[in-house]
Amino acid sequence: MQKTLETPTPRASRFQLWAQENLFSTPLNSVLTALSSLLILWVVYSLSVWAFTQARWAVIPANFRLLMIGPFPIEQIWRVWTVLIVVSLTAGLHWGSAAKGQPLVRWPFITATLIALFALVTQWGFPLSILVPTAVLAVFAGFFFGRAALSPRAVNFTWLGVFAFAMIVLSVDFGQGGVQTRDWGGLLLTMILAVVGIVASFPLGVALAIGRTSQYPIISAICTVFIEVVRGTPLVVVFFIAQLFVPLLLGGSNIDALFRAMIGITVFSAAYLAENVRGGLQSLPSGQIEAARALGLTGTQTLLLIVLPQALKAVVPALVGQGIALFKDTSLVYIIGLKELTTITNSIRNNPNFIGTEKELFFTISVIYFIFSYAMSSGARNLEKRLNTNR
Amino acid sequence: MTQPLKDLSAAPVAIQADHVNKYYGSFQALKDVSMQVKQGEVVVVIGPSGSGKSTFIRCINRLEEHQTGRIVVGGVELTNDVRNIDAIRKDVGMVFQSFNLFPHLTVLQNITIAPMRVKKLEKAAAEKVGMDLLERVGIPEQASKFPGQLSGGQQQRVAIARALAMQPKIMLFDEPTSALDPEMIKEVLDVMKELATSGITMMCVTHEMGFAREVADRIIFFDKGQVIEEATPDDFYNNPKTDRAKLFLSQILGH
Amino acid sequence: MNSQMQASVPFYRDVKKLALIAQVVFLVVVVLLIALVINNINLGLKKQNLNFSFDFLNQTAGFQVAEGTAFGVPYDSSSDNYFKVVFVGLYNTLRVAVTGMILATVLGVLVGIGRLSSNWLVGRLALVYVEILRNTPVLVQLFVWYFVVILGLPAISKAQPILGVYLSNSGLATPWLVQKPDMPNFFPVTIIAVLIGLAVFAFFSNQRARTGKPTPAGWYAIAAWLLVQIIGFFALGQPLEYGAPVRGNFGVTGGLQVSPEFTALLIGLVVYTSSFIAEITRAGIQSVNKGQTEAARALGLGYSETLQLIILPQALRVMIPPLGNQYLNLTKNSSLAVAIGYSDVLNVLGTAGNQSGQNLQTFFIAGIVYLILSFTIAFLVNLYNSATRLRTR
Ligand SMILES: Nc1ncnc2c1ncn2[C@@H]1O[C@H](COP(=O)(O)OP(=O)(O)OP(=O)(O)O)[C@@H](O)[C@H]1O
Ligand SMILES: [Mg+2]
Repeated sequence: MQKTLETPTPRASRFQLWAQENLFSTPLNSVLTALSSLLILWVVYSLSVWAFTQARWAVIPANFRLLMIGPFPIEQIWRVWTVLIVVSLTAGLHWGSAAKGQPLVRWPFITATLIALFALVTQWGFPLSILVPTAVLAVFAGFFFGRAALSPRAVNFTWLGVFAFAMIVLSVDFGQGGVQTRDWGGLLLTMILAVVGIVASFPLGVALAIGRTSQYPIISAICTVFIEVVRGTPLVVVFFIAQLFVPLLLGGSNIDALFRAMIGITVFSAAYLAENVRGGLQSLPSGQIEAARALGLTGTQTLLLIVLPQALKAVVPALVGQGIALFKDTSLVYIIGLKELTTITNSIRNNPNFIGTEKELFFTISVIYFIFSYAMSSGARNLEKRLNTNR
Repeated sequence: MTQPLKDLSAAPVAIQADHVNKYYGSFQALKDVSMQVKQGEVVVVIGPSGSGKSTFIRCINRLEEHQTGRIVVGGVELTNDVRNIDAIRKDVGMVFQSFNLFPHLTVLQNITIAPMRVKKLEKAAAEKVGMDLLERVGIPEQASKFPGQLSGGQQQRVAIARALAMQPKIMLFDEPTSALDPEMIKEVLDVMKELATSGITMMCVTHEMGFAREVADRIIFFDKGQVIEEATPDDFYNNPKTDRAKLFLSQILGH
Repeated sequence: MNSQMQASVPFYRDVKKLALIAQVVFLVVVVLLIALVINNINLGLKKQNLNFSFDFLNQTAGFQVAEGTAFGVPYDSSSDNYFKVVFVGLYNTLRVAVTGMILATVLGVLVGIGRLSSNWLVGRLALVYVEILRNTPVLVQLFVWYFVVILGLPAISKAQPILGVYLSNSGLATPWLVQKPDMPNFFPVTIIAVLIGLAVFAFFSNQRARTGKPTPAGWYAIAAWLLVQIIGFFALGQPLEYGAPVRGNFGVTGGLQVSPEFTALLIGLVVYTSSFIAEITRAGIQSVNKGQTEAARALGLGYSETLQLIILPQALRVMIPPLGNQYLNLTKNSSLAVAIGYSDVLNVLGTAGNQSGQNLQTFFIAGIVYLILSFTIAFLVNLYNSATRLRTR
């Protein structure tokens, strides 16, 4: 032991010291290290054997468009590209404005690579060879422009505009026929559901939280009952109930199934969001409200200018966690038959041409879900650090 | 220790309290409190912990609600009338023991928020007022910092400036220096002394005897929710009339 | 005179009255909304010639349920009614939820401790485990467990038993205490025993809080539970017997047989939930003051003793509320059974709804059932919470 510590090369000895301390400090630790190594080796080995010799990866490129956009009509695909390029541009603006005066951060690169990768997996041909570089370019153009000229707040409003723009471009008939929402699918639909859920549930959730913490007992009681009842019900049941009750409510006609699902996910998510926001509201010292009222600010002004900004900032991590949960929960619309990523995967799995490819399919969509969720959570960690430092 | 006696006999009444009672549930925090404060008068409120000092001054701008009796501030009675409450809050500034600055706003924004939102002042005008006030409390260079970056004394001076920005006729202070380290107390007291000589009506809960002797026109002694004694500072500190005041003074001066 | 002044304030400027008016207006709006909803639903129902009644519950269900009993009472699709079949589903839900909670806690706490291990490799492994599971949808995970793992296992005819346990694509078969068919039902005894255990726990933690005497309430509770189980066992004339699975010509008989759906759902829920419990455990342990560890180590306690005696009991107090949330989530996620065809309460109600054409009512019932389950769990967690909080005094 002593001898190894005194080996002449300092780098080797530093590693050995580290290993000594972190891997072999006690006999039990050494055994654990050995077992973990075996486990890792076994997983990596069997995964590699499967991935490189057994897996039939052809199922992925063959169905890539289905996975990405579902049954979206091919002759209308320019709509998706338009939205993708606008979103790329805005994402660039977003990261640029947040990276004032800093060198290139890694997100633009990651996004650009992802866009390029997605494209490469499908057949490379005329439209793609123009569109993909355009999207990649948009990310960087946005980044540099945003870094030079925009405030993060301005970009936040831009996002709302982009959202409205996307919903219009993806559906409205501009003369050569529109796209039905039932033709939205795949990752595109997953994204739409998640974004709609997050955007729509935010105001509702905040309102519920304010109601629940209000000093007026009747309002507080009603909001509490609503929140607790929704939180006590599984999302699947909420979806089923929305499918059945929303058409009855709105006159028994054939209300769009996607719209019903959106209502379900919004109400569900709002109840959870309300509880997170409530945590923020209750953590605010009462002196803040007293000071505001003593200055003559009205109740509404106090809420909007003093209470909410602080309360929301305090719960940003929880809100992002909520967003990730919602993103994953969009997969549950499988149960009511909307064709988002998970549903599409299952229908490919049942396609006689691709029997026995469930491993490849589930692996792929798990990676897709993982990338987005992980990006959101690490984004949240960065945001949290930033918020903590400028206190 | 003597001060130029202000002649307040002809001055109009700023705060009038008649037989004020206040309960927290079944606990009575204020018992039949009556007093009068003239315009331009500086009153210091003292008393043991839990005697109702905070409760009383918080009743004056309706942070707490009294149950019976009358409180009239600047000729306006405090009732459930929103208009009266708003009018009184506009005329009454308040400074808290724990500063209560808004941590998400800069120092200047803390000061300008009320003039801009309540008085609908233009941003530029409000900022002019704000900078002048920061000048007056001696920290104009801190305008763009956030409260968390300031020392306690600086924060309390910002809080005073914030209250003054609404140009109140009356200022309420609730133990403004008791959350401060000793070396910062003086800088806040200096600002308050300057304010006291400016002619504004002031009601301060504070145990700073030096401050009271120098600028107070009157001391009001509270105990168990009642006004026990009212006297000039010299009278009160040199020969308190009631036993309770004597006991209290011996406790705070004794050691 | 105060009252006189106030009497002259018009209501639209009186803070008290304004507060009341705001609440009344809110209440009226909510009531109107609910009335509108009910009215519209009634109109819609009329239009579709449906009516919202629960009479159908008395009709014969007439559909098979793949597994489970109505809490020990066998279900016969040819004669039993919808009401009974709901209980079969509920039983299946509770079976997977309760087993899941126990296993997820054990696994989650282990992984959580692993996250903080002084062994770098173990810490990293636990981190990867948590991140992968938390960042992918539970539904996709269930599909993987069911379609890839369980259905990918060898057929029962080829399965090799490990310690008498058969794991195959027709599920799990393991040695177990099984109900003798001609004997009284043992299931109610178990329920009673658990309830008595809980009551004993509540009583002793309460007493401990009042008297301050250290009482091992947890042990007393376990003892009471076991005692009732054993007494019940003999009082009913030993209605259980040891049974081991035996492979015959048509699969396996004997022992405890678990369907592939149950197995996949259970594993899926346990593994998914364990990743959240791991993070809760980690946060709980980290919340315990570092001085506590140092003090314990200074007293000469070893690592695992410190963990068991000093850290975990303190961490537990921080962990209970979020743990309760995870139990709730697990129970609610068990409704994903529908996706892989396990006969939980939602699945059974769905079938019942299609069968009887009373979809509205069945999903309404589903909502109520889950609400009752959720509130029960919340209630138990609060009970435990207040018991342990008192203890700190
Ligand atoms: N919100 C409240 N609810 C119930 N009782 C209260 C409340 N606020 C104050 N009290 C009680 O009213 C009494 C007077 O409190 P108050 O804060 O006015 O005392 P104080 O004289 O300011 O004391 P200190 O010097 O400690 O600040 C105390 O007994 C206190 O416990
Ligand atoms: Mg006080």
